Amino acid sequence: MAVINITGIRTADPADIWTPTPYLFASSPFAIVMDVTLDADPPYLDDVFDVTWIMGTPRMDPYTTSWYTALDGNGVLMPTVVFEWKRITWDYRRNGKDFSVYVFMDHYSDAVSQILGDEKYEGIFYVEGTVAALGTPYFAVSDRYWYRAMGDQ
Amino acid sequence: MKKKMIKKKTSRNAAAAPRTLIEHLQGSGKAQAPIRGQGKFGIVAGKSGSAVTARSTTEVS
Repeated sequence: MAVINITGIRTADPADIWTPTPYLFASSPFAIVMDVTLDADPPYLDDVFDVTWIMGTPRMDPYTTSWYTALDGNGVLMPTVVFEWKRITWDYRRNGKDFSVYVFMDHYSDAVSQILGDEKYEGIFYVEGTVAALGTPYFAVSDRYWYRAMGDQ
Repeated sequence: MKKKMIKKKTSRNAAAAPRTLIEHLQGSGKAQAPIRGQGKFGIVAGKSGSAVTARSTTEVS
């Protein structure tokens, strides 16, 4: 077992982060949740972690699909939206080696506010993430979790 | 007698390079950047645990 393991990742309602919501609407409450497990007997770790959540599209063709952003008036293909929470303190000796970290917003539309194009609220996308222990070489990468955005409702 | 030229060393990073592309654009006066959603963060113990800490922030990157 690796020192840090991401055993689960999902989109969810922030009011119930344990239940996956593989489809959602622009108005849906939105969270990306990662379940983290540390090795049962890890080497010494500080209690400080960096976490990154990544939302991504696999479709990057400017002639067909459309998920881009605008920088200074120019459209730029933008395959990911990234959220970072740095220097999280988690006392795993006291609170346990299993924990879940999440980023959440009032609505899915807040998460993709920088995205333009037809697929802003509609399409099949993925989320994934990373966890790193500060001051050590240890890190973990999640699997991809796929979800479907169902439109502007 | 030749005068010894002493160059003052300057750190390559001393000019406070922009950290992100958006900051670069804003620093160059090209500030038209997309609106960024505000994220909040939480961390909880295990599946049945209660929230230990949670905070909200406007600083998402």
